[in-house]
Amino acid sequence: MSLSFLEASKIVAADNELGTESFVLATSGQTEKLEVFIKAASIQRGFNSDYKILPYNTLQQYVASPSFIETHHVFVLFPWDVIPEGDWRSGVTLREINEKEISLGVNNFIGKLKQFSSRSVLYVPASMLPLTCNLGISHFFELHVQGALLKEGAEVLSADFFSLSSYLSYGSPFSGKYLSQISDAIVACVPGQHPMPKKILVTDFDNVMWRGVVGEDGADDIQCSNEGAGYIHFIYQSYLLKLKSEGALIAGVTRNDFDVAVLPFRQGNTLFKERDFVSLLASYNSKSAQIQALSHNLNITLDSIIFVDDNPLEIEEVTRALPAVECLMFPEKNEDAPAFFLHLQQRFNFSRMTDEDKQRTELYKTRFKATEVSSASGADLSGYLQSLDMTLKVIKCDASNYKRALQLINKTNQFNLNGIKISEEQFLKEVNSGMMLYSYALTDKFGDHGQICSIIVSDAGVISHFAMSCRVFQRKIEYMVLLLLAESLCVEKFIFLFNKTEKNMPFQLFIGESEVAVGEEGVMLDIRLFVNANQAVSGLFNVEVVGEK
Amino acid sequence: MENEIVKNILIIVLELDPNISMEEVDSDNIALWDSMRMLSIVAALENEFGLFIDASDAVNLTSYNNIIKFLENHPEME
Repeated sequence: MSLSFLEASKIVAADNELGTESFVLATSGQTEKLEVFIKAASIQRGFNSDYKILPYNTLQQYVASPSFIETHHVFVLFPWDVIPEGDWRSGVTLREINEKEISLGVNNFIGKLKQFSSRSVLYVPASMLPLTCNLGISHFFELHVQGALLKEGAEVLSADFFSLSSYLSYGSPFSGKYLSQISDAIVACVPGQHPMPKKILVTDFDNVMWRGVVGEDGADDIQCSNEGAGYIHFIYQSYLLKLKSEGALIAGVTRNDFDVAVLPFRQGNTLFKERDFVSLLASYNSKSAQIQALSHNLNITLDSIIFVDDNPLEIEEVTRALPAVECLMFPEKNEDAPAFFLHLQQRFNFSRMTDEDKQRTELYKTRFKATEVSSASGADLSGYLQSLDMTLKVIKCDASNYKRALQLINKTNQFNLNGIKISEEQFLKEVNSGMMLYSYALTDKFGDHGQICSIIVSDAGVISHFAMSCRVFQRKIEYMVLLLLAESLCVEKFIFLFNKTEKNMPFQLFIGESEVAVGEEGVMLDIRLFVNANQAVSGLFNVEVVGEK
Repeated sequence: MENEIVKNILIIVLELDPNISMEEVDSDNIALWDSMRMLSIVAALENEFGLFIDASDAVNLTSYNNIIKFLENHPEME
């Protein structure tokens, strides 16, 4: 977290009883202005920093003849530390510089770095002084330094961290604006602070492995080929294959029926195959419960898991229930994809690969037992749902605006009362005989989700059709719409014309969780009991009623 | 608001009594105000206000009042 000078000073001034970590901060420039930020960043990470610095502009001499060689060194390097002729403070050299000389110099410097058995290297890719009058060759030298350091495991920081003005004025190359970020990067290098590489990527399926919702669109209509809307998902699957080939484990976790979830793999629609997963869990249990079970079964700690999902609610639920699991949103736009893949590369940063690494998935599968997933409901999301600022628009449909609502009933399979389709003709007949179609549209702080729920109900409370988009699961919308209906219909009970289908498990679970009674007319819900039990849900929504209530 | 930030920076860097009158805070009056502390003051001002202070400007920032005047006239300060 970025701190200002005063915030950092306050942290440093406060008493603490933390242990101390020692290291050498090896950089050529003045480092005094980093001091309070390094100390504060360390305290935030749970330790006090005790670090040695080098006298100004002595880095070259130090690496040639080092002291404290057993202590961990954090090198913060600039291009001229490797190619001294590129130092702004020296002015441009008249001497002719050639590529061979540069290569020798770079290799020589890196060779000297290797004598520090415990080291971290941070590199600020600031622009160098022009070394030649040929722009391409000068630029090549800069990239050569960066490439050589990267191969040695250096972490490249932002070029913005360098301030030429500060360097020329004070000998300190660090930009005052980024002192906190620079210090964070330094402190993160202290042994024990660097995040361990992840071992397993747990991926959601719908709108992550493919574009679309397999339970709604069907396996034929999801997209994950190298064209069109599915392109980014194709790239994602190819990256998962690469990760798997280099020793990472890939697991799938989805809220769905297993047979529905694996259809795209079994129909050959995907690049990443069912056999490539070390484990594939599909159930209606919370994702955190599924991930927890996975961790237990594979004997992998939660902090070695990274979880990828497209749904902020799922991310929030897992974050709350399993804070040790790192959660990552699948990019909504293609432009966000490079940053997403860079983040994954940083987390799955393998320095070497053995034959065992290549076979890791198969090795884990051989000792894999059937996974028992707890039916725990997952983290309480009430606080998070409150923060979403949800508005539910209630539309009592008539002949002019029923089509989308009807389409939702006919297209939705999972949260669907009975799976019974209804044609326009039938619907218009039902309306004439007194049935009412309500449609519900949702907006929240993420945007407009459109119409997400439809109910056909009589004024006696008989619900013949009830469907809700799976995109808005876990938001308690199904409870809210029934509360609103209860208020407007003034009946004592709802009668659901419920039918169990192969695909409507989510609705079955909803029925199972509600206090219902099964009678001759259908599944009955006592409204008074329902309202008493779910009153708190009203507080999660703003409600707008469009047209006649 | 800027006045308060500058005051707090000087109190921290120069280890001043928080109750000191800022009118008296001057490099001539404060024993600890040397070139190293000056560098720290400049770094803190740059960090808090998100601007760069050139060495030629820094030499004039020798009192609380001078610093306030400098910030008021700085083009990057709104």
